[in-house]
Amino acid sequence: MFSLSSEPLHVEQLKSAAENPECGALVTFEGWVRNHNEGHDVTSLEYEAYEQLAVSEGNRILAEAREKFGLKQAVCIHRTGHLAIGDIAVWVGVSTPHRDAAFRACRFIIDEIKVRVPIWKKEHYLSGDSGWVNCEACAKHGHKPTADYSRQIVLKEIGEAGQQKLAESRVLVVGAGGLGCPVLAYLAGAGIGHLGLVEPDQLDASNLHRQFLYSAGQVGESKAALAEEWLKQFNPAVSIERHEQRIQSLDIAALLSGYDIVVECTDCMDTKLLVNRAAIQAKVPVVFASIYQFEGQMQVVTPESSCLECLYEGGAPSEVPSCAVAGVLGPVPGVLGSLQALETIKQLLSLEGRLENELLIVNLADYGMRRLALPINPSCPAHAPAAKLPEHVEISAAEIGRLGNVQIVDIRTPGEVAVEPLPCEHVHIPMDQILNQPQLLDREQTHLLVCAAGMRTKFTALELRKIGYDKVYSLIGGNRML
Amino acid sequence: MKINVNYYAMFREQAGCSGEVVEGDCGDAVALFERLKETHGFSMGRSHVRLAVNDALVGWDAPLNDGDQIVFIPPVAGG
Repeated sequence: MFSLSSEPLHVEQLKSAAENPECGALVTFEGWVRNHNEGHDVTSLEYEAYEQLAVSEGNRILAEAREKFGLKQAVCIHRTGHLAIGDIAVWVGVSTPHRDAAFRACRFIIDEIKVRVPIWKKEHYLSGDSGWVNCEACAKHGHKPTADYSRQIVLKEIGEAGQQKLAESRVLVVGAGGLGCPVLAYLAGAGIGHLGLVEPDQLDASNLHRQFLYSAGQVGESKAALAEEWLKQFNPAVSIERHEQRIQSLDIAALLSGYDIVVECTDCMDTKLLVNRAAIQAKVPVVFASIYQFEGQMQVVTPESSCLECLYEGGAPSEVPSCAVAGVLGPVPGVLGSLQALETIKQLLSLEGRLENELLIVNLADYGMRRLALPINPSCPAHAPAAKLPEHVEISAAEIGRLGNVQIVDIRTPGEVAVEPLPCEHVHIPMDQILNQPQLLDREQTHLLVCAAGMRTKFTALELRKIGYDKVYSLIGGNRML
Repeated sequence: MKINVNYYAMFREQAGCSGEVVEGDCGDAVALFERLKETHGFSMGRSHVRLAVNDALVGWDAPLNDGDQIVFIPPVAGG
């Protein structure tokens, strides 16, 4: 419950209102009137509130915190009127079963209160002056702090004109993981005007050693939302557009056409191949990178250059080892991601030394770097006039709803099914049987195949697509996702 | 048309009152703000100001109706 008070606050009373017997944690925050601000000696201050809206907005913030952090009890009270040094201006108390959520919720509430609730603070200074906090500075300078790019503008390759170009640029970053973190941070720091980011995952504790936009207390939260929050704090001048989905579930042609350049930062070969073909068709350049243990590769694909598939004579590999399987040290994607950010700036400004029809190979075990010429491969399927986007067969559990009326088909062996039966309505046709007798499936019906990890279903779905079963999909991650 | 305008913080001080009733053709919220800015010499431009109509935050393109209570909200500083 949020309220306003024109009388001094009584902490013990408030604290008992915030307690709850189901909770093991009570976190409170006290905002005090201090005797200085921005170099001025403050003698006292006044809070003025637009009451009706302050109370409704304050309660809305508490409801959001309740929802977001599973609060059992939340109390916030804000003073109005004249306050002296040492008085409590605002008090927040929250109770949750465990301490982590309580700390985060308390922080969330006070941060939101400060920017959303219509309460204004007037400071009285020792000098006899007074001023409305936030307002005077805003009236003079504008609301957003201005970023200072002077250290890069000094470079003759950048200059004022280059900086202006960066400010007008739109860059799409696919993946906000080990490569994506340095890419996003350096591009936002450089003052790219608009950054798009595509990232469907929630933060896992195993990401943290290499993905520095996130912190330990945020495990389980949406990486796209966390990255957006970090970037907004880091450089408020950059506008951010986030997509909390896999790029496969977005209209990729429409998405790409809104950007000047794409930076591909996933560790998923399917995504790379899809972005490669879609970018060639949309005539948008892409900076690709990938890593394997201590080694990395970077390649730039433009409408006129060789592409990812030019590299592979006998067709691109459908799977590459992920970081989870192959292992990774944080600085390796850190270096490759930094190179991608640098290359993106070079491409945007057409700087000397940028990659063109080349593959850059970086070996961080011995610090070797090599640029290999990579001309367009005349038999490259992605460059063929009739090239299509790769088949989209994989569906995550979160996307099942988009398939509409779908029949789930368990293709595991009877032995596997006996140990872990599917918890929902389905039919069971083992993989061998489906491949030998595809007519068991109705071509007009949408089918979602399920196995233990999503590998067998992906293979089976691709085989079925080849013989005209266009509505067959593979569940990413296997039966435990259902 | 009658619109009740309420002032807080710096707008209250610069207008010299906590509210006033504006009568006649006020135009839209943008025109109304610009007119009052001119009249009272508000030092803050509209780009920093949010609009509330009848105790709810709304966009600047929200329509104004007879009897509306409106508030111009300068940047806040609670806490």
